[in-house]
Parts: sequence; structure tokens; C-alpha cells
Amino acid sequence: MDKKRLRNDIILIVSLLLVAVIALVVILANRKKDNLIAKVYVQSEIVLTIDLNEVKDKDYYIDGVHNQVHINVKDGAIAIVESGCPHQDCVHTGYVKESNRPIICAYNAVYIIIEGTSDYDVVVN
Amino acid sequence: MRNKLLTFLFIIPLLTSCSDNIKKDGFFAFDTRINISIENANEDNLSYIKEICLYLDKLSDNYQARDIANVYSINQSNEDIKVDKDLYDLLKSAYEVNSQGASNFNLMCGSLAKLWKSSIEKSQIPDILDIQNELNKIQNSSLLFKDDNVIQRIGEAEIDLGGYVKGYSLDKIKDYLKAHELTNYIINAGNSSVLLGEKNNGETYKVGIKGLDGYLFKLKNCVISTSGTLEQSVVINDKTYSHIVNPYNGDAEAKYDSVVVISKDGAFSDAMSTSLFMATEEEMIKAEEDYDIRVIAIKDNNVFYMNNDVEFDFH
Repeated sequence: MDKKRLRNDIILIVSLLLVAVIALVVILANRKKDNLIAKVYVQSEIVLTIDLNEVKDKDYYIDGVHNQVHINVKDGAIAIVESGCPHQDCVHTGYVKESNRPIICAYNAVYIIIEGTSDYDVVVN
Repeated sequence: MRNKLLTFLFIIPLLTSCSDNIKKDGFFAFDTRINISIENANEDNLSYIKEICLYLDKLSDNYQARDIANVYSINQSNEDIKVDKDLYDLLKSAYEVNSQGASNFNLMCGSLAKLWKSSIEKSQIPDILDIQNELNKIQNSSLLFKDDNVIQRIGEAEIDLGGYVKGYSLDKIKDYLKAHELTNYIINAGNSSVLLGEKNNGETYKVGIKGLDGYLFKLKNCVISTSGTLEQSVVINDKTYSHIVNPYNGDAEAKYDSVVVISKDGAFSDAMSTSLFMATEEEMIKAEEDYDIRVIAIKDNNVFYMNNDVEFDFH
């Protein structure tokens, strides 16, 4: 009797673990494909949250510390296309569609980061 | 038996959720964004790190006066200037790093770098006479470090700590984190200077390098510094010019896309990445032999130089 109970318990545990693993795989696979969310900060405040998969081609205008900053989202990628900053490093960064690769306009204190799954903990440049 | 097994099943997710206690913060300093991610930290830890960065940012600012004597103040004068001990120490270490291995790093390149930056913005190369004028200023300038935290600038060349202060700040942060027994962290200063602790299981972090697709480097307990052409560069007549200038000939032609230096010491790492950006492959090998660093040079989106013992996966 005890042996039978133990066998049933093991079957139950293995089944639960199997379901959990399958659920995890499905969640991770979907996240990688679908969850590319761009967050736009001015200083430490999030001023825009954009689902890059939902937007085909759209312009956004936000107030930076010194100037208005023109952001464009196109084909799953985001860019600062116009900023009144002196060096234009942020504009030269171009369109970004990978997480862990930020767009930074220090002059206007604007920071754009795409949140999603990545193979990397950090990317240096 | 069944009760024990069910208890075990409930404990697993509980233990897993307890290990994920990561505090994050982000703010602007050193003309870029600083992102902090530390496990088991508290709000005081984050505030202190922000304070360190904003304070050193204020001291190293070469564009405007602040409420305390800073690099801008020194650049405006040839008189004795009493500065905060932190600025005195920062400038002294940056001044001396040139003779400690970073032979192409010179903190007195400020006005030469400004000349190149303004030309690059107009997609032009500066006039050779203007470059020569700036080189003469550098050759005839120095800093005197006097008693009681007094500094005197000799000559007209301007100080620029842009290629040094982020790494220096990371060293201060590393000391602070060590004193508070915090070991699991990523402190990212604009993606060009990054301080890594280790993961909570003692494992390495997975690091990518922009422009080097497919490589995944496994690193921990180190600083990664990069100098490159990804920002502030221009191509003229098939030659790429960057904001990183050679203090000996005034040239800013880039030999590489970027040079990455991995080291235990952030300030040294920052200075070496600038210095080796102008170096030959032989000089990179020599630097690895002489100092506890690893160098990765990237050219045309490929590895130009990398030591065999740098641990990475290719995927």
C-alpha cells in the first residue's frame, strides 16, 4: 500500500514539475518575441512607455531639460532623431531595437532603454 | 511522506524568490547616464553612490564653474588654487597615470580635444596650424601640486578628465561596496566604464561588446573600460576621426573601432583604454605583460587583438 502511495506521489511531483517547466518555456519564448518595451526617462522619471511591436511609425515629442526632444519609433526600433544638444551623440546612436543598448542624451537628461530579454547582463560600447 | 513532499514543493519557490533582492537606480553624471544594480542593497547605499558620482562630476566639470573650486576654475587661472582634497587626489592620480603605463593619456589635452570635437561636429578636420598651436600649449603646460591641497596650472593647456573620472569614481564605489559587504552588482557608467561584482552564486556576468556581434564574455570582479569611435566620430576621405586625440602629434585618426580594457582598477583601466586606442598590437601585448589587464581591440567589427585567456562564448 505504502509503495503504491509513494509511486503516486512521485508521479504527482514529476507531473507538476513538467507542467511548471513547460509553462516557463512558453512564458520565456513569448517574452523574447513580444515584450520589447521602450522606456523613456527624463532625469529619473519615466515619461513614455512604448511597446515597440505595437507601433509601426510614430513620432513622439518630449521636453528634455534644455530642449524638446524628437523621438521616432519605426519597425520595432527607436531613435532620437532631433535634439538641440551640442554634440548630437544621441542622434548619431541611430535606431536601436535591442535591449541593453541605451540611447543617452546627457544634455537633455533623456535616457531610453528597451526592456526585454537579452543574452547579456550588460553591453559595453 | 506526502506532507513532507508537499512542504518541499512549497519551499522551492519561496527560496528562489528570496534570492532576487535587487535594488536599482539611474541618474545623470559625467555627461552620461549611470545605472546601478546591486543585490541586497538598501536606499542609503544607493543614495551614497549617487552622492559620490555627483560630487566627483561637480569637481571634474571643465565646462562651467560650480559652488566649489573645480577643473573649470583651474583652467581659468594660473594662480594658486586651493581645492578640495578629493579633487587634489583625483588630479594628482590622473596626472601621474601617464608615467605609470598610460603613455598616450594626457589630462592636459582639454583644449586640443575641444578643437577636434567642434571640427567633428562640422565634419571637418581642424587646421594644422590650430593643432600645432594646441600641441605647443600642451608641451609648455604642467600642473604643480603644492602643500595644503593647492594646485597651480602652468601654461595655457586645459585639463580634461573625461577619459579618467568615470573609472576613478567606480574605484571609489567599489571600495564603498566592499566596506558594506555588497558583492553582487553592476555599476554602469554610460556603457563605456562598467564595474562588475559577481552574481550571487559567485558566477560571472555575461558581457557583450557593441560592434562585436556574437561574442559573450564571462567576467566578474573587474572594471571594463572602452574607448571608441561609436560616438563623436566622423569619416573624411575614408579615414575615421574620433574625439580621442594623440597628445604627441595632435592627430585624432582612429586605428580601431574601439579598444576595451579589463582591469581590477577603474581609473587605470579608463586611462589605458584611451592610451591603447592609439597603440600598436605589440604595445597592447606589452601592456598586458607589464600590467594586470586584458585588452580587446576591435577593427571593422571583428576582433583585431585579444589574449587567448579572455573567457568568452561565441553564439
